[in-house]
Amino acid sequence: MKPTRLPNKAGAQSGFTMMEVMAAAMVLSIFIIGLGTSWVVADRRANDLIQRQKAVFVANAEMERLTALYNNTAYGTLGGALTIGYENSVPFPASRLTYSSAGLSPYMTSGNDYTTTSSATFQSGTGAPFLVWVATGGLGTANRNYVWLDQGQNVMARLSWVLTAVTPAQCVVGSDGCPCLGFGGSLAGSCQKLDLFLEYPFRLVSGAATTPSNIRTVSLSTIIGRTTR
Amino acid sequence: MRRQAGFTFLELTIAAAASGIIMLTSAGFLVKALGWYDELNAKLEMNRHARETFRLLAYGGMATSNGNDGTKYLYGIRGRAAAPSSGLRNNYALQYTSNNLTLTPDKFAAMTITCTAAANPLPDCGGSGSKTVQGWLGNDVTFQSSSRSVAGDTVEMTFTVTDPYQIQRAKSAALFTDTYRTVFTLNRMESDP
Repeated sequence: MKPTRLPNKAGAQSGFTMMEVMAAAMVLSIFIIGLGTSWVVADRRANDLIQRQKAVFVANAEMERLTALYNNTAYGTLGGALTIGYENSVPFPASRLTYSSAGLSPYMTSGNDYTTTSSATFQSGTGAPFLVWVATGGLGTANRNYVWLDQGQNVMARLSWVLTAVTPAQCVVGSDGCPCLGFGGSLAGSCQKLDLFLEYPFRLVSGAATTPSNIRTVSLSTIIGRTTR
Repeated sequence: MRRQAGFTFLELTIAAAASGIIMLTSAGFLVKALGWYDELNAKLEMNRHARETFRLLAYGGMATSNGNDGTKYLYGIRGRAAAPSSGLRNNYALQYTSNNLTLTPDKFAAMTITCTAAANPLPDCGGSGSKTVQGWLGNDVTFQSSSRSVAGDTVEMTFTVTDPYQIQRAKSAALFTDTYRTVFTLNRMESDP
């Protein structure tokens, strides 16, 4: 076996000094801490991935509800409430539509209204995981909509959308079989491009939404239009 | 005779104690890391099975034989006039029927899991007894279309994914169970063939 160190004197050998042993221990500790940190990072990434998957499911859910609401009811005539001043407006629009605090009763029976202005109902009311909370306070344009992303973990997402008229040249609205009527359901109108934004992770603390330092966004787009159905 | 200088007894004792502490910490950390790996792996697997469940129920699938309408298609919930009955599982495996065709795309060889308490380790455990498990759905897939439905056309869906391998030895079974929710629109006018 080779000696770990060369003899410093003829016939004499010396081992490691205490400083060397302690330095080695320190290096090993740093290595272990680094390994632990990598696990923490991996766990955080996995949680982000799961949260994003849930956000995709919820964005799909809200898109399905909005599409049905615009296509099959007169919601598009007066329904969406204009809101402004979103924190992360770039590259997304700063002005967006949301559910209003007036509720959805003009377009469906009260038993089917899935919006609420009460944070308590949003938290523990009937069907809570599927409710939309219209958080009010101050100007109406500062209202915000929230949905549950993971109620067990107290994670919410902020819901908003924009509509843009779509008028393809080959479609003369209302006269050549173009399927999109006005949102009232009878007069000529146009199809609309609906861009939905779901921002997360917000949390509900003492009846108010807390804004995260890093807002992540899932966005979906589709074409909607009132049909004769 | 040559004189050799080694460690003193005190140095050896201190170094052994320091090394011991570091090695014990490392061993504990490595054992814990195995648990973290299991947990992380389970989270990713559950996420994958959630996505698979969503895809089949949203878009449907294809069988090898013809159904009632002469095609091989199972229509997803978006392609139906009414939501299917709650359940959609057989021995915890996703089982979807449409067009008189049935798919069980996410099934494995049967294993037995013993219930130790209510909702433990499986979410639908009644307290005792055992369950034959062949899939990842910890609870029935549930649908709600009688309330909060837009124009009677939307249906709320809730499903629970459980890791059947990890849940048996987990200290906290809740770590290996997760619930997912979404809404589908029923776009078809006619009943499922």
